[in-house]
Amino acid sequence: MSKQTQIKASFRDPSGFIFKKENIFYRQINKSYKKEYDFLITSGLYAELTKKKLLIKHNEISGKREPGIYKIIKPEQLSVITYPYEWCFSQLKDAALATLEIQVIALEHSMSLKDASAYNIQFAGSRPIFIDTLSFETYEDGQPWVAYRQFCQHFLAPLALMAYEDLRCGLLSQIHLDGIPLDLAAKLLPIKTKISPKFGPHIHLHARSQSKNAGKGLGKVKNNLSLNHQMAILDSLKNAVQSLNLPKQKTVWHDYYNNTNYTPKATAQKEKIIADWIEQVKPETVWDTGANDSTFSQLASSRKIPTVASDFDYLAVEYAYLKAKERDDKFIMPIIIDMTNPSPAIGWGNKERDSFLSRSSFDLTMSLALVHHLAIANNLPFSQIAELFAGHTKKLIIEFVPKEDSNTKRLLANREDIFPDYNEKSFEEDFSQYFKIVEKKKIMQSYRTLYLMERK
Amino acid sequence: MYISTEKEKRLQPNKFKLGNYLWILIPLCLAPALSYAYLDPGTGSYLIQVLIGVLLAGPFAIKKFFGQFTQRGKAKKEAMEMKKGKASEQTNTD
Repeated sequence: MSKQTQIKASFRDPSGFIFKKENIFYRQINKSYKKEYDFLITSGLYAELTKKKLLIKHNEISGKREPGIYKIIKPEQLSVITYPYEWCFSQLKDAALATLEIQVIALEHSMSLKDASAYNIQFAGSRPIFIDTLSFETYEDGQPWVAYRQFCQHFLAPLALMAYEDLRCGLLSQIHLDGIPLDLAAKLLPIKTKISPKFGPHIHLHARSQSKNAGKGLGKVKNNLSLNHQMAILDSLKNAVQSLNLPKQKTVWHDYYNNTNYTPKATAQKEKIIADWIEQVKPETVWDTGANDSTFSQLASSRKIPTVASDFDYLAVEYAYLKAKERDDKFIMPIIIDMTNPSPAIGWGNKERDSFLSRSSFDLTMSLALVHHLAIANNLPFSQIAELFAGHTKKLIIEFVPKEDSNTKRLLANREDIFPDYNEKSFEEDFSQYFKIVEKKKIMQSYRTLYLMERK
Repeated sequence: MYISTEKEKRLQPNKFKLGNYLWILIPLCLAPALSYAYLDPGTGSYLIQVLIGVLLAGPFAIKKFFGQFTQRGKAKKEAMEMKKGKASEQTNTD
């Protein structure tokens, strides 16, 4: 009998948990959640949410159950799990709007979300989808939204900080597991948000109310919020989220593909080589590292291959996501990952949210025009780069950019050249410790070389 | 050009209009300073919901009331356009 492993991300919920068996994710529903689960199905809420592609679909698994277990369901499997601090501004905004829409529909079916954690949203391509089927509870007349605080901390506060202050404020969610504390957000946001009808009440007054009423009981207030009033709050939250736009902020890489040193012919040749190799390798999953605006990732996603397009540049990922949305690309997942410092494992026992690298294993990894940044700008030896890739991919398409290239020259312009081994020979030798070089092609009208490698 | 006009629009900073903010100024001025006794954020969130719910219920009801007409108008316009489309399709077939 194969072993089942409980996923640490869901251990807090008494209604059930996620487990993995034979590489497939299942969700156990405990008997204590029977009433709510049955109502989710019979009220038509599950059908409406799945029809609108807001909630993940599942199948019930038949079989004998141990006491205490009501049902086992098998949700649709996602090709990649990502976390809110890896999303760009528009991904977080879309996830927030999806959560609010779900709550409005749930109320129309006499149910309510009992939590509004951003971790309950995943992306199926460029669409946000709610994955926690056990997050719904029966709505009682007059009951306030129990997840209101969580929504403000997980969505409204980071979005407002990203829009009003800096896109990098999104990373604060990595430190604060249950969203950005509202008193912190209130301190960091500009004064104008204090008197904004959109953010004043939900962030500033909310933060003050939290500190003023900490530890006090609710008394008569507990069931004193009519459905209409709650709908008004949800509408106000929606307006607040929708009103937020990207700040006017330029990053280093967001305009990269308009400023490359490739000629159009060289670009076309590079695209052809990569496309041919993808056809040859036939990967089931692809990771494009340093993907920028995902120009080359699309060579895989357009072939219906689930593709993670990661980059550390916020605006490049933003642009990649908005473009993916425009073409309704279901196979690409643009995310913010700094290759030199990928998302760590966080939460209880450092096991609640996995590190990016422990979530990631790919058939093919593409590392195009990245190696010179890792080796020269970050002083990473080739052997370290090769070792990291070998741990997470079976095949590798990698572009070597020599010192003669104008971009590498720029990296060395203001520093001493302490990289005597930065050359094609050392590159091949060091990568050959972990990979077999299958093919090697020069890119015309450039000094660059593309390699197709296979893990040893 | 890499950034489209539509994207540039999205990149515009949020505009500040003082008139929109005055109503919230008074309760904020009256609210006490922050304390760090961060024991139970649940109670404060419940209470603020009740307050915001009461304040927003009126404007929301008005918005919903007028929203009905806008939606009806939109639906009528769409129906008319669909009719026109069908009529032109028929003419083309004839």
